[in-house]
Amino acid sequence: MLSSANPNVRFFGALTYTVKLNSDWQSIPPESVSQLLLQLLNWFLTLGHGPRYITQKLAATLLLALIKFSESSGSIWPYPIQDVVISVVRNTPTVGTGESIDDEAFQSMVQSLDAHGLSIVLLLCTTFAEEISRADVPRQSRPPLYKLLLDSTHHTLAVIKPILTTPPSSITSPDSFHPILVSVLNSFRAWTISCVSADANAPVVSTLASFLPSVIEFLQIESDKSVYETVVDVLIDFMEWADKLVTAESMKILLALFSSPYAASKIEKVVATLEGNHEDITEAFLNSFISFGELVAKDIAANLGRPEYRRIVDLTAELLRIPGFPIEDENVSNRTLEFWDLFVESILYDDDGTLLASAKDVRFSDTQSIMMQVISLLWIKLRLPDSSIAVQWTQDSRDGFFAFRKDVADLIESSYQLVQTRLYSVLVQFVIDSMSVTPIDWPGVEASLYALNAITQSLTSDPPEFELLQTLLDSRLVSVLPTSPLLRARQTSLSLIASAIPYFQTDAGKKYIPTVVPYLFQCLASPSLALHASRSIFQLCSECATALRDDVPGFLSIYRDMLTHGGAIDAIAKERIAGAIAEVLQQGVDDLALRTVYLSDLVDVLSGYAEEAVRLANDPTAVSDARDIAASALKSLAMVGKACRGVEDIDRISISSTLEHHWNAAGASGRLVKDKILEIVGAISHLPAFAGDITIRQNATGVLKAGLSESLPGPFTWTADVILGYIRDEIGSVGRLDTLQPVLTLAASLVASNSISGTPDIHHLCVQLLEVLYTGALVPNNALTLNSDPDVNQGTLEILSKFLQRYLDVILASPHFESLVLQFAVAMVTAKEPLVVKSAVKFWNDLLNLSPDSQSPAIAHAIKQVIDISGPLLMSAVASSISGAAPRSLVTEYAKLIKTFFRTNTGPAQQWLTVAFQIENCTADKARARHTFVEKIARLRGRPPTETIVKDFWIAERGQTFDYV
Amino acid sequence: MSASNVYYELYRRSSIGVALIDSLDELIKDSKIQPQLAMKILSTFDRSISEALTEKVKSTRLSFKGHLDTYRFCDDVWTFIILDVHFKMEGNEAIVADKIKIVANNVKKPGEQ
Repeated sequence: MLSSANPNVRFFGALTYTVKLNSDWQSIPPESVSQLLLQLLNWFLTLGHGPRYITQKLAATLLLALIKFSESSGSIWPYPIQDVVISVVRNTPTVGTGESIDDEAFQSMVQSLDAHGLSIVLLLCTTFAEEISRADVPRQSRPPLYKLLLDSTHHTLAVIKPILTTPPSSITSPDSFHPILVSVLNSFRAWTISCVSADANAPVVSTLASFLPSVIEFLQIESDKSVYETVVDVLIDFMEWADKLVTAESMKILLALFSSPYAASKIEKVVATLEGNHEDITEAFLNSFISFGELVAKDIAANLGRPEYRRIVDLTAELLRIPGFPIEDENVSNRTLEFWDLFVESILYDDDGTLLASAKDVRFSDTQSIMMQVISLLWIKLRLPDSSIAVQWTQDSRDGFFAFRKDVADLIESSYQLVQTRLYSVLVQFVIDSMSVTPIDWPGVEASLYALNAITQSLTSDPPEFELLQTLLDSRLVSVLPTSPLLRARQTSLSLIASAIPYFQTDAGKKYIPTVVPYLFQCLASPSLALHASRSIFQLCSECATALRDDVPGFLSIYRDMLTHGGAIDAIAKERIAGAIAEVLQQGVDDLALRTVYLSDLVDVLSGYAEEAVRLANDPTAVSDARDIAASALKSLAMVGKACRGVEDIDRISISSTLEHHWNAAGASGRLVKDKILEIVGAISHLPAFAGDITIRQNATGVLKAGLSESLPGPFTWTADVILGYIRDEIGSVGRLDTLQPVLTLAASLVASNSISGTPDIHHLCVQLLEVLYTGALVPNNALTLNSDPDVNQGTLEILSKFLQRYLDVILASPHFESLVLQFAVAMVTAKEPLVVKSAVKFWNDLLNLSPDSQSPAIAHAIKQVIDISGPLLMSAVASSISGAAPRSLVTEYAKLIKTFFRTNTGPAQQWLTVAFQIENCTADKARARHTFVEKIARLRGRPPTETIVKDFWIAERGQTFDYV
Repeated sequence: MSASNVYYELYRRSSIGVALIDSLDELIKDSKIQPQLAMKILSTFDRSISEALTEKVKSTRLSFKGHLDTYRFCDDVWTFIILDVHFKMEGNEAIVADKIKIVANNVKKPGEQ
């Protein structure tokens, strides 16, 4: 293929060589390696006159071979660069010269190379350096390769130095010299960076670094874009390794260059050029300028008084004046942000991260002025495009622009430590100024609000900025925002309001709540703002409930309208508003009777919403809509339930009896509200269209669970028999078993609940619950067969775990104990589904970890009996699983169970596991391995590395050699 | 070096990786595939998930602040343990965590010949 006349075939030949080397290099005997290298070098020389991409591929293949065989054959090619030069000069491939020829002779060979010969030598130098530094070179191969690289540096330098040190003024034939110069610069760059990776402290690194001033000289060659750009690439790469590669002399030259009138004139041209139509080399210059700024940001911060440093700051700020939108029109302002971040950070903090500066420190007044100017310029860049412009942008431009805005917001936030109130004041003034023109400058308003939001969200306690917020709220902003044609202005205002919640909690801020909240409710009407608005409403209501207590009737009215007419509004927004109103009721309305009246109204509104669901559910074509509304009504009720949770530090004893009567006595106003809530849950749950519907069950159980963590009576604290009744109804209703999972979760929550723990007949109720679960869920689920439903099994195991924690005596005394624990929970340890096995292992671990000392003697005895009976069964199940039956993901689970067994019951566990292994007939070797395994595990008594030993045992029993992860 | 060695295996411990391993494990157990094929599939998984996470996951901005408790750099892996972490997400949403662990690996150049 390499001999083909078709260049594409030749390329494919080189590629095939690479693939073959990658896959089968180990099959080549060591004595043939030199021959192979020679052959590849021969092809490289032969095809060197052809297309570049083929020569490049062959160079990479040659180097790949060198890398591969360095792993096994040691130093097979001690002087690769020297040999390539000799090969080119003599036109005969030479590999493995034993000695380095003297410098003078080598130099004269290099001088005899023609342009073509030099170019292919340089190509090989570059490829050599790049291939050695590749991330996928094996770690063990690197040291010899790096040594080879460092040792070959003097040969490479002999090749590149004459070109590299040619003064630009003495170049007489630029057309022939420039392409070679580009190749030399690329080789120099690749070789130097690789040497730094190999050993940054090697003497050759300093030697290579000393050539940087000569490289900088080539920036004079502005007429050749490729030379200029390559020089800039070298500069940028060197700056990344500044401490090793930019010497004091180079730094001086670079500082002079980037603070020179030359730099100023370049930047001036960029700023004067519209929309990225910069001359060719300007882009490259800007790249190096910005990289240099980042490199010296810390020095600049420390030496602002020095004119050259100050000039760089001023020029970087000047770059922000480039016209156009960031990303779409220009790609410069975004790239300066890293510099400004570093600059601010260096001003504010020392190397240990200790805060140095404060706004009041006069030493920093100069920096403050700089950052104020920078943020003012960035404010212009933050402005949103007109919709007619934005519509023409690509998605990438849009994403890039908004990412830029966020980066600016981060910079504003970090700069705020430095400039503080002064900036806030300016931004507030920007809002007011933008509103004072006709028509209102909405992009200006939005950009200012956006910047204010970046600061406001990090304000703490009662800062002076709150007074400035007052100025903003006293302006006509809130009254004109609803008229804004720029939707994002309203969105940003909603974010700012959410960030300013701490202000609205202050006495000064409270008086503005009646101004802000109607605006927020107004925004609810717009589907694209409803989510933002509802979030702010919820936060405002939960944080400023007291200030809003008088507005509840108004809120209820708006909420009723929203549910009746707001079909397009997102359900989440509707649910948040229900929660928000409930927050105000619970925290803001102290009078229990009044709170109950309002709560009753709120429940009535939701009842109407639920009725709509019931009405639609009767229409077979509208069942899906009905389900959405029903689910939303139940979710809203659950939100209300969560908001109605009691305050922790309430005086329990004094009010407990009052609350008990109010919420639970027949005919009491609170009890009537509770009954209405249950009616809604019942009306929806009992609809034939929703029988067994998992979404409805999830949301209905959400309402019933809302008060389970409560310890005082409240509107959502149900008696255990209410919840038990729901569980019984649902388990008994039509529906697939796999939709029972929410009901079982409710049962588990009920067992663990605070609110029912004081119920006098709780034990009786728990017995009933077990009965319902056993007869209603487990028996029909045929729980002991492999075909049972995993969700039901997992749910049941979770309930059993809860019983262990709270009502151990109930489960031990249950007539179904044997079925539930000794059969079901044991069987589930070897279930097919990983989640079920995990729950079963957790159950048994919990049981084994029960401390006998904290139990009554009778219960401790019962637990011991359970372990004695189940132990052999469980160890048998575990033995079978870790002998290869278990999937990989469960090996750790079984190891956990083994650990707990051997920690809590070492002797019996060892005996049970030994017996379990003996049941199966196996070879003598295998039996010995199993015996050793049990011995090892027993010695460890649950300590590390039990898990690793179990895993290794599983691998060995599988007959595998790997453990997948 | 073959491409299979270029990618990290850390995603094998993710839920989707564990599920794949269990499925392959079952196929090996049932003698439907050879272990070598399973390893090949897992190598492909390593590459594909790495590419999918790079290219197909929409970037979401998030910032966080906390107290750096522990940091270490061992075998090219950075580990940070951060306490009292406040995450700030788009739209001002905030999440608080007592403790988080960040494990950061070097991004390697995948599969180039």
